[in-house]
Amino acid sequence: MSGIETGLRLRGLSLRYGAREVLHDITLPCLRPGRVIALLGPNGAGKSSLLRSLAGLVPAQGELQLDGESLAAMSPMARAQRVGYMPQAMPEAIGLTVTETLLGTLRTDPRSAYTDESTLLHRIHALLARLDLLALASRPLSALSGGQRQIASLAQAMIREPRLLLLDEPTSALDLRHQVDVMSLVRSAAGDGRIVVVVLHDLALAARWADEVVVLHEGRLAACGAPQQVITAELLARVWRVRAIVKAEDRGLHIAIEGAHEAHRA
Amino acid sequence: MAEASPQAQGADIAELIGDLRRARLRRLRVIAVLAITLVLAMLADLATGSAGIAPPDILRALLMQDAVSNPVAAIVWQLRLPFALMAVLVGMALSLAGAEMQTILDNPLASPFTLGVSSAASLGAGLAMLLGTGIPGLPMDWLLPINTFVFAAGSVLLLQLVGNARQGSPQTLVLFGIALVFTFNALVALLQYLASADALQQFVFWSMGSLNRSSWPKLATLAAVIALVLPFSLRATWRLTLLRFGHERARTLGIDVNRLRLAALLRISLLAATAVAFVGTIGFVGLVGPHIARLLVGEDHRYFLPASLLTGGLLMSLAAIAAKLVVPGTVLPIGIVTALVGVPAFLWLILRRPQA
Repeated sequence: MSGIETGLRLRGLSLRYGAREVLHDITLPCLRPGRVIALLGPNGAGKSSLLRSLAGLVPAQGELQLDGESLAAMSPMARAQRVGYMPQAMPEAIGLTVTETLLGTLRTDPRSAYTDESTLLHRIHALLARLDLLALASRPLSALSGGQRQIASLAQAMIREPRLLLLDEPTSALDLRHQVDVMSLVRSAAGDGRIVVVVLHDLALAARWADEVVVLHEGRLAACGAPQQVITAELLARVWRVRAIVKAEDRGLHIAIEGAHEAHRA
Repeated sequence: MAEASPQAQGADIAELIGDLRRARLRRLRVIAVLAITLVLAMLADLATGSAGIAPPDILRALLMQDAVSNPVAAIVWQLRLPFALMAVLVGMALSLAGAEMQTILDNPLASPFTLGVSSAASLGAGLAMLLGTGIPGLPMDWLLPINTFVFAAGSVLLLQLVGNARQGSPQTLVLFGIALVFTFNALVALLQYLASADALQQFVFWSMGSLNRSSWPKLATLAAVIALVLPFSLRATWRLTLLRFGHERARTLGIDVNRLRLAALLRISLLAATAVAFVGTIGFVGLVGPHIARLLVGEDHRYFLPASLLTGGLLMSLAAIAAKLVVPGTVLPIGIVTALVGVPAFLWLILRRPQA
């Protein structure tokens, strides 16, 4: 593609809620397709706000372009076709099966509103097979466990095959095994040429699965780059105010937290 | 995640399609059973009454329609049939309105009356009955329903204005609705305090809900409203279904939630206001009808909305029969009976499948 920049371009992004500025002039190097980008930072740093701006849920100032097209200028449906969003949790008591959920998500997209059903079911089947969710396809969402529901929620965000996939703490309520399952699915979703931006709290998880990390602190960009370079004892002291020993390992980082950072102790 | 062999995948997709088809057939069967039960209930309603007419005579009267020379036909065509149809249509309108209300407010306790629709209707009716004020130039027979309708519909539009102005979440809307309920109730109480004893009695009877005011023109109006609204409801079924995942998720799926909600509120106000205008306030059906439908067919709105329509009609039809049987020789106001009939049915469904 000559002339058109592929990927997600984010420049001078700011967001205010009334008088409070939650994001201040965030500019990132272009986020490339095929990469998993972890969004890190302490509580209130603006991670979810940034993700919600990308999803179009809150109106942010600044430049946001996906493959050279301005996201803000798109119609809500055009944007929804390119950007898939997975919120922190899916409501528990929904009387729909996994298949029905995905079918409804496709049917509300004008591109597949009138496609014959068996074509759509083939697509659903392929995705469920990939997410290892076929055995649960005909179960109501209300009968799934928390981890299973998260994967169903991921399926809903992926079924329209968006270019940009936004995941807000997809692993927060999950046990270790499900965390690994979800993150390897996230990894493989990026493998299809998608850009995946995922909010994480667990730095080790980010170091293990992300290609790049973006660290936010008090609404500003604190650091950005490859996890091994960015996540350091110095960064943990400055942004999270904890003392830690960080060791690079084959696959990811070993992080041992020792305690609160002296200089920032109240 | 082991790679499945192509053959195994082929079998799997057949299973997926099979499961979906079976679930669909099951739901269509439930809807068919509901429809048949509704027709039977209506026939039973026609056959019940103080005149003691035998069922074959009623069937004959239905087919003949010769009301002048035949007293049975007169009773059937001028009393029982309009009452029975009104019960069914009112139940359908309130239950469909309740189903949409529960979805757009994301609240299983919502009903058409949650947000002050019935209180506003009472105020409109109160003004017409207790003070005789309303739109000038209308015959008294229509003043009451039209006044009621205007107030009920107005309260819903007021809600929408607030919801839009403040980017209202469902919770904001519910709280504002509750504030409306108290305001309207206070105004109604004020009217009652100032009213004459006669007018007060008339008003109290109205507020209990009664089919006594049924007539063919009113039936035609209510049927027309349902026929007008239903296609729009059915067109919105997928979008309403996705609203179950929360307003934010629906927005990120490209759904214009504000527009969907406004359209639903307009439909709800038309349905509920027309029903209340003709028969008075009848609670419960709009709350429980959708719950029963949900237990029976789930929340895919393509089935949930039609099923709600039928459960509402059925509940009201059964209530209409009970209203004639509870105290022999008297027809109780149907508003009193709906809860008495609905609660056992509701409890039975809840207790029957604890996991749902």
